[in-house]
Amino acid sequence: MAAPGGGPARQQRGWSWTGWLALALVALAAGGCVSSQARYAAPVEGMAQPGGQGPWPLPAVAPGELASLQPGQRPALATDEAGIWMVMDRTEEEYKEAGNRITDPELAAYLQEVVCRLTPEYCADIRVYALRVPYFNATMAPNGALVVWSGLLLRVHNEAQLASVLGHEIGHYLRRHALERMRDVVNTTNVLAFVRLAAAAAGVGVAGDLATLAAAGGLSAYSRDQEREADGYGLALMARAGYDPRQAAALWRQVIAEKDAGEDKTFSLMLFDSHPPSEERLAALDELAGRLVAGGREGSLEQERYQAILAPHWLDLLQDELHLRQFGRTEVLLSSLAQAGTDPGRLRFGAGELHRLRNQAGDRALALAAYTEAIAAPTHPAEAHRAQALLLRERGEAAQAREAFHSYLAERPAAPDREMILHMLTQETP
Amino acid sequence: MKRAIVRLIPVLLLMMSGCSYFTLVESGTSQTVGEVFRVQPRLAWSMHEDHGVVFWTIDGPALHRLTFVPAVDSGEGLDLGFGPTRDLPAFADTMTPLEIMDLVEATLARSDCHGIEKSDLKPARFGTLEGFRFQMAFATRSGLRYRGLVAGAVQGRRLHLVLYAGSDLYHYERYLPEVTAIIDSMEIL
Repeated sequence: MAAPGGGPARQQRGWSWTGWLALALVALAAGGCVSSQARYAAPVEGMAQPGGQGPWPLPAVAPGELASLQPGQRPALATDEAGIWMVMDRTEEEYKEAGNRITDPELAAYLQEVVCRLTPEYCADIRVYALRVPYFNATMAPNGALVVWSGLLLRVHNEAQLASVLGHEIGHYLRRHALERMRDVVNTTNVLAFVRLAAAAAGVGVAGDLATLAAAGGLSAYSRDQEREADGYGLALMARAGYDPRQAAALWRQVIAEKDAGEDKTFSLMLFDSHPPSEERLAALDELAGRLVAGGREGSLEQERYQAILAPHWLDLLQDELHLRQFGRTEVLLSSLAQAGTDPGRLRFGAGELHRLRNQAGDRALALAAYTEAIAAPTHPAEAHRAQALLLRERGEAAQAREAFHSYLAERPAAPDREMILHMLTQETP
Repeated sequence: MKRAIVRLIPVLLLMMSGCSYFTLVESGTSQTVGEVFRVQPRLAWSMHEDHGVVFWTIDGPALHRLTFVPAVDSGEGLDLGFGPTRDLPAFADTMTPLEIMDLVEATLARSDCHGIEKSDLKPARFGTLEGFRFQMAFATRSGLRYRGLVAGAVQGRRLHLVLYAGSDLYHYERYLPEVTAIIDSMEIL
């Protein structure tokens, strides 16, 4: 059923009141005005200019193209859009029950809060699900189910970077890009293929089932024009919410560096498949962000808040990343997180784990040094002592190993391996 | 038509011979598994073997299963029968039980298991060997929560392991006494 004022989705033409709302949003974000001749919901001043000229020309809305979604709107029952929503509603139920869903209520409330800060008008329409999948991705379904994979949470440095991705996905949602994409899938393949694609957003394990990865990427593969439009919305929403818009391009540059360092060049970071970060795109993001900053919208990073929320999950997410065994890439990731001021106790422990698992020439010594550095930081995980003890034991340094084991058990009295460690220490007593 | 169906029967039989199948494991009799383990079940089980991985079940493998992983050489991964087996982390004969527990965790993580929790690692006899046991809990991606018991030992350069996993809701507890008795009856051949 359509919301008041909204007719059947396929019959909508030209400007609805949401189009004007988007335009108002543009004016608010850019602090300027948009040409009244522009028929496109350009979210940042200067993005769209009559005749397709300008720094980032965008096409006008073609006759019959979908208008923006209205707050609270659901599609009329007799439309194909309603069918797609129904499938996505069912898929959303699977997200709720998924074994890899991160159920931490604080993290869930935080992600929802960021969405509501970005777009208070649609706060009640968008529901966020964080899933433990160690790839860099977020997907937005036409019904408002926004899925964030944990690989993205591990990689972003601050709330502004997170907001850049969420804002971009919200841009796709507001402009109903996903609906268009899903229509294409339904029309060109079949409904079963579509259902499979929809379910793929729930993610893959660390083994990286390539077919599922490809499916998840395929569902969110938008046209270049749609990507540009979503980028514009993302930046505008970020700026309006008071986030630093320059963080959008900064995030892409971090992830490009990481991908370039990967051993397996065919390895997918997911969002690259559907959102190829071309030079043109990065330049446009820089230019638009620069324009917003020049207009007095420098914004904030909210780095400490983000890192505090993520802290209880950080080690688990890093372990997921290490299970992928893409050590070159993880090394770049850790270096990037060090620059972002991630807690050194956890970060050096992560570096130790990387070297221990890679286990090439010199890695054992590097691992031991990293664990020792981690332990020097007051925020180190207790597991750093355990890992240090195992390496010292391997080197025949029994007394130091014993001491490290005792430190581990002192810091984690309910350790899952307590009884075995005590047994090992008893056996080794001279 | 009838003649066509009759002609199809040998073809179907040939095809069925390639299907996976279960064989009966009789209760109260000594059973040899993988030419390495000999155990004594008290209940009747169904056995399935797939690419060298042997597991037993009573109510169905999705609900509970007892997987036997005999004689894993140094440098090999553990195929626990839970999912993809490529790029599995490898066993090393220098590993302590602590590291073997981490190895099982990493293997399950690569098999699309989530929320893995480990507990109660302690020394325990495994046949005549000095071995270990620990407990686990994890969920599949679809959300089914399992509990597990792992027992094993290193013999020479080889790891012998048994993993029992059952649904947290019912099956794990239901068959745990039987599984414990089977592990206690273990002989290494």
